[in-house]
Amino acid sequence: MSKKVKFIVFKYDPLSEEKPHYVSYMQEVDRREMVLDVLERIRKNIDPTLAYRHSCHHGVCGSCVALVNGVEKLLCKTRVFNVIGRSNKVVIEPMRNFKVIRDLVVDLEPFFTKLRIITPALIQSQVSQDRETPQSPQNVEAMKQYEECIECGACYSACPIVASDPLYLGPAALMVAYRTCLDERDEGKMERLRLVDSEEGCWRCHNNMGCTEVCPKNVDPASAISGLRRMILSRRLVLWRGRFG
Amino acid sequence: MVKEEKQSHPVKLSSIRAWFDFKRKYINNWLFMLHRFTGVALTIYLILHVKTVSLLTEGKEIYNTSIKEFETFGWLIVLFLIIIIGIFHGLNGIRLFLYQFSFGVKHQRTLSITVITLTAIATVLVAYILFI
Repeated sequence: MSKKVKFIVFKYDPLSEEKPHYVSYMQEVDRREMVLDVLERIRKNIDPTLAYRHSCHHGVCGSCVALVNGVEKLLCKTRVFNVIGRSNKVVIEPMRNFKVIRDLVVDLEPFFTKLRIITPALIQSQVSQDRETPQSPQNVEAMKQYEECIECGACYSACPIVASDPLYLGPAALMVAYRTCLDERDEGKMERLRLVDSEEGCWRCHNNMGCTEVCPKNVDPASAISGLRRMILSRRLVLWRGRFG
Repeated sequence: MVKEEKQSHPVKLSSIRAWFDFKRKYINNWLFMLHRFTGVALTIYLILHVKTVSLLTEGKEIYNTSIKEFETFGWLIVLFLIIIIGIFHGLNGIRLFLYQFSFGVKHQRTLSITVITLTAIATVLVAYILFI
């Protein structure tokens, strides 16, 4: 079964164009085809200038996130027939909250800079070279959901607070902070909590839940942000008890 | 660890329109937008309310004359809307308060539907009390 579908694609080259514009392509689409498959066909047969990121085609690398009819989606995992609705059209735009480099390609640097601020790796004062650092199965289970993050930037794009506050760390960085704080082998918990316990940290989140809604891996960054708040409050309570108790 | 740098808060007022994106069609975004609209509406009401009550300082007669202007069906509808807005804002505020302290985040959709359901019930009850 196939259908004729109208693809309306965002086109913009900041180096040579003043304003972005949209280009329409009519395509015969098979029910099994993904949005990325159609984009590849358009690029191969109609418009070789069309720019977009892609790599693994299996929803693992997180390169191909774009807005499909206004919602952040992995293009390689989004079936065209699931998003066309009654209008039989698909509007493809670059992610929000990022600077467009060209067409659907955005500059992810601010996103990765914020991830680096959190120090997403394990912090240990003494790393043994000859034996593993053990982690309990319960701890692995607690962290498992957050390990699924592929750092695609969909949550950062969906967050309305990032749009109004460029210094806000954003859902992905806060989720990573929570994940590493959960890790019983990590020794940087206090430092990370101090970092996120700020105006631009976990208290900036206004519970829009867009991050959780759009995450292609069902990571649920909103619960991680809440978890950070709980950790911070527990820590403060302990300090308060120590001072007055 | 990367050093934390203190910077002045750069909230871009022009970007606040990004808060009101109707393309994000999920329940929490509707509640997020409504919470802001109702917050502004309640602030305007509060200012008008304080201004009206402050007429008491100018004497009983001036207050009574101006308060009579509000005794119309149009103002009754405004009062009805304000009560509904207040109830919604309060209930949604409780939901957000719970999230803030990490309660019920795993059941966010259920909590959001509960807020909408309770507001709908309150709307019917308030309409019954005011109009019937």
